[in-house]
Amino acid sequence: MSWLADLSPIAPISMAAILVMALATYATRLGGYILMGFIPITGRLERFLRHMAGGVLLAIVMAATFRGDPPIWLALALTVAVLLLTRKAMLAMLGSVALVALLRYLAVF
Amino acid sequence: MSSPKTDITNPTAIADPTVITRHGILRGMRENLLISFGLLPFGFAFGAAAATANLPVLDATLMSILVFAGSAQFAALGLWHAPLPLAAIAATTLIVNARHIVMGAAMQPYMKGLPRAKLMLVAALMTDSSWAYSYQRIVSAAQIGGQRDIGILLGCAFLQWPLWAGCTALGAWLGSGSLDSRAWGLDMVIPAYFAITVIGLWRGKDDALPWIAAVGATLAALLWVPGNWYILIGGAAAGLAGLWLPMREPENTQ
Repeated sequence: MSWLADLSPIAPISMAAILVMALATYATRLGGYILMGFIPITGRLERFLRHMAGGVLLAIVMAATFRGDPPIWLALALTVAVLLLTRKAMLAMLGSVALVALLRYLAVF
Repeated sequence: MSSPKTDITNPTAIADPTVITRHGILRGMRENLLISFGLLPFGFAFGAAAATANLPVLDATLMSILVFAGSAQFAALGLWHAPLPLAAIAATTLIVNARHIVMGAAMQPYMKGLPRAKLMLVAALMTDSSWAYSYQRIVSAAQIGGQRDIGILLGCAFLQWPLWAGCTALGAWLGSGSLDSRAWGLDMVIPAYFAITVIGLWRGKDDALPWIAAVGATLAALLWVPGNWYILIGGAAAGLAGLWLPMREPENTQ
């Protein structure tokens, strides 16, 4: 079975990172239930958390653009256009992946 | 019917304890059966993206099993370079998932009387969609004074969890083979996923100022600050700009 060769064991540092993520995620999932026992989540705190999450996602998109190549930039524009026009997330994702593959195959850039 | 005087505007006034029944779990599964399959391409995409980020098959699969939070998992892939920045990964996970705190806080008044161990299980399986689905049902049930059965959240999540982990494994396995992921455009999966998520978060012109703040701060951080600080800097800028906006009554977004 050749594909078994791909299944390398999980490195300790990778395992640690995954456990850290699992703990952090569970803390946020349980956090709201616990916090409400002590302080009400006010409108201001709710807005801070919501906008902060949006800012993080924007930062990730920007970093990908910043470090990407012209096919990625064009495909990002396509993603946004398809999503705004059709509201179909999967179509936007598949379309952008296909465009990157096509542009690289044609080696336009 | 419990008390007809149930105050629907004040969830703490609701009587009867919240329960988890087998009937509720089955109902949660039945009502989410079709929509859960919408997860398949995203799970597959995460696996493929993990392969392009040099995350081995078993690592990616274990992450999907233990973390079970798509956005945070995609975000972590961007940080997956040796040596792994554990602090940055932890901070990013906390921030990307900070919305769970708000979701849990909204749900808490409706979980009255649910034993602590069961509450911890409900919290552990709270995803964006399992929450949105069951929150709406639980609030409706409370309004008519009916039984609040949070088993529906568990049922929904019991479908999503294996689908998410299974598709991750499949995507990671196919993506980590001899497939040239760049040639197939798979490195576009992460930027596209986040662009789609960000656009989905847009709620109106009140979001403009935080977005501008995030874009400006992130650009400055990418240009002048080494490491992965741009994520926290962009998030903090948006959060602070959100506080600066005039206070408004929360709108009812369903």
